[in-house]
Amino acid sequence: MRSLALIAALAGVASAAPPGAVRVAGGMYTSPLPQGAMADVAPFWLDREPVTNAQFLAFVTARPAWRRDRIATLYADPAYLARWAAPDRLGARARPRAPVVEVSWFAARAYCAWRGGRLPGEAEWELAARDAPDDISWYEQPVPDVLPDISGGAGIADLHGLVWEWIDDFSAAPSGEKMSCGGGAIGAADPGAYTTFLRFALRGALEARSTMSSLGFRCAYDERSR
Amino acid sequence: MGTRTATVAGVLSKICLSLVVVAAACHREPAPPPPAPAAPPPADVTSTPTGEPIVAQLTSAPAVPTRPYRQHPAHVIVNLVVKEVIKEISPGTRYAFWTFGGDVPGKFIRVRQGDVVEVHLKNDPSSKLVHNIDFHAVVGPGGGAMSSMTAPGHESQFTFRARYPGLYVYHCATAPVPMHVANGMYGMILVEPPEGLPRVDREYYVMQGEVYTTGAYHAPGLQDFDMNKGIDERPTYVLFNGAEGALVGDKALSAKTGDRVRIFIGNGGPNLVSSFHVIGGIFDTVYPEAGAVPQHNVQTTLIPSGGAAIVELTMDVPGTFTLVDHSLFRAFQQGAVGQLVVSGPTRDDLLTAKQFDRPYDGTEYAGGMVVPQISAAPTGPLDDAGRLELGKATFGRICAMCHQPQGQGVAGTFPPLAGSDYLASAAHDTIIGHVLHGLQGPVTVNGATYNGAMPPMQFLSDDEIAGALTYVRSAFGNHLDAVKPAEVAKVRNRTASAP
Amino acid sequence: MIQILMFLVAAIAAPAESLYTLPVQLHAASGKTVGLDVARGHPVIVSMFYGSCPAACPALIDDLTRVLAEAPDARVVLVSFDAARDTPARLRQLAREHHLDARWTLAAADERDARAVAAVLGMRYRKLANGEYWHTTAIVVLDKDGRPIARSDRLGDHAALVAALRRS
Repeated sequence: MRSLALIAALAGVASAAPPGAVRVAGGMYTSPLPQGAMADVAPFWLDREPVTNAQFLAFVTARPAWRRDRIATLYADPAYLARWAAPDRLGARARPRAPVVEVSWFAARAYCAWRGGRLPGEAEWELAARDAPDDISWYEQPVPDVLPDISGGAGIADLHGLVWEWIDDFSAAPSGEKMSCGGGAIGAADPGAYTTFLRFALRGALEARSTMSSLGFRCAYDERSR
Repeated sequence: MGTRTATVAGVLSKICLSLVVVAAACHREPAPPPPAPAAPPPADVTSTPTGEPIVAQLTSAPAVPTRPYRQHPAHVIVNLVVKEVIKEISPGTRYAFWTFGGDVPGKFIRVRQGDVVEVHLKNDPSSKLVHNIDFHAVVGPGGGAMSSMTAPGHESQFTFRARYPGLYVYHCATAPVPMHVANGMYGMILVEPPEGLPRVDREYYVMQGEVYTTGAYHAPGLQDFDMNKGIDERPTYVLFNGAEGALVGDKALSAKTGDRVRIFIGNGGPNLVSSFHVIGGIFDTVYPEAGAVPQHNVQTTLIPSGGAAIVELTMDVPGTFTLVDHSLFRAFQQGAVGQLVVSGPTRDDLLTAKQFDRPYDGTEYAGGMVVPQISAAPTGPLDDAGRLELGKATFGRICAMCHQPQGQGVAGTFPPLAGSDYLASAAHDTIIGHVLHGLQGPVTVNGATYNGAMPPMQFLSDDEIAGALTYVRSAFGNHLDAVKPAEVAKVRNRTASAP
Repeated sequence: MIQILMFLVAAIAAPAESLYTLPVQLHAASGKTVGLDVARGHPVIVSMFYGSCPAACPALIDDLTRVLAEAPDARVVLVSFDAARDTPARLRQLAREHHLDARWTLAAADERDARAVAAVLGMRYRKLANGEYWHTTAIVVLDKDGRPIARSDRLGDHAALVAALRRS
């Protein structure tokens, strides 16, 4: 991770590269879903890996208001960090190098703000994930009791196939009859984009305080915000 | 004089009595008409439920919950848990199903028309996906789907009034809906009319559905969903109740002879229409498409994708009755078979087992000739003249094809009968044997050797053979004695019982 | 009707913390930058809209006008998610067009803060290709300290909202 940041810095990028992040070139993003607008996505930086349990533990230690025994019910549902052994200890079900899950949108946002970043938007995330291998078999299978560690590897890791990931504008995902039954296909640019439909269906059903055993996140950073 | 007076008095008194009677009769009120039978009050399907809510008893296929016996609508609570599970669809082959209640098809729900149904849809925390539910019994956008989008680890609640009686499919309607249905998210809800369905002895719940896997039929291991096969409507499996063998062997449906069996049969799809048939059964009643108007005496009924039917059969004959989708490759190659085993005393008066097994040597097709089926020997005994007539006709129809109409034969191929020295010298039994059993191998007639194959003609009756031989032996210049039917019978029986 | 009240009553049964803890900056029609707690001390109805909305938002304003007529102590905070078009000047114009009195605060939030307000209200919106927005309805009633006591997801419920305000 450090070497990538160094390379990025040496490449003459105006701002210092955020540690652990990779620059994503911008481009046109068209949602394959109905009512999908086109967006011209500006270049941005994205975490190479999802946020881990170890990283999130450091966050709640530094910001105790986000510990599971102190957090406002406004900002997370009762399953927030439920698999951790204690509010300040990971335990067997939350491996340090596994992605953190059971976090709400508010908690994810707060973490990214603490790191000097933010959550990626839908267009940014989908653009970055467009060419990553996306195997539908992951979507079919229930969640294991203990999540595996981040796989690592070149480029941006685990965008698909490890955990769902929060985006900043999840509340922009269509809900209701737009996503129900056949209605989901009306006007869709690509009704065969099943995995995309599955992501949108999830986002359309989430609330900001929701937590899920397979929902984590990673952070994005503006090009010049640092 | 006294007598006459008495008589007059008698007459008068009779007259007066009659008058009194008549008068009395005139003054009686006309009898009121008998009261008309009171029309039964309409069943209550609209009142607001009072009393404690009832928690609905939900069952896994093939079981069906007991009928609700209620005079009035109730407040019914339905607790339905969505669980994503990996199950076997065939020994050694597994698939990741998404289920209502842990099984495919989902739990059966049974309510009464007019009930106010409060649905609690819970999505297990271990689920990967959001799910919801669309009840075809519900009128309103999405059939409940929009009121029930539920993320893993959450519960949604909504309420509807079951206004329409019938048997309705429910299914998950989250995008992409074909995948959610293909992965097992379908079930049925029965909204019973207030008077209840007519009584039967057994009720069963069966639902057909397809599975689309990347691997071939019976490929082992955990199989993935194949969207392209789904789009092309080429399933790998077509199953009753979510697995091969779900209704087979020790899991077969059961009944006793005399039972009236009702099957609530649904079709989750997502693509195919089913041609539902019970082999050896006739549906004496079908509610096509689970509507209100019954049909009778139906062999095979269509069940639309996303639809259902109610079928009833009376099982009078014992045995194993196979349930199939009569698009038969689905039954044979893709798993669409189930069984209904009926036990009880045999009913030979309705269907016998095999009664006879006789040898059949294909004599209808003799050496390339198609020999017309000859009906049974004419009823009633024949006299000699009649037999000769029959024999002449038989010769013309059959023997002449080879031996020619004048018995002249074909040189080198078929021996002549006219003036045949063989015919003149052979014993009756030998000649009869040739007709009954055929003749193979060389035979010399009038100095020429013939080495063909005369086919057996056991299908000819004794009268026909005796008549034909008698004709041949007295025609074409032959002056040989007649052959009797009893002789033919003797040869026939002798060789039949020969070891 | 009864169902709506039951739903609203259910919201009351699980009180959450005050929404005023949410650190957002709203650009009000007055030109000032305010927080969600701009009307703290009064019961408040909070919702979201955008000024160019052709039908649903005028209907929302209509509903809330009726509510205020029967609950004079209440205040309304309407947050626009279309800050680009709903400038303070535009917001003042809208207030004039709808004859909104001083009990109304119209304000716009930048993109990230708008998402945060939507998050606490349970509101969804999406910008469409033609510049319009698809959005749901989320109307939340807060007590004097900003704690949510009732919520509605449809228009035309003003009687139920009045009842909730009377209880606060």
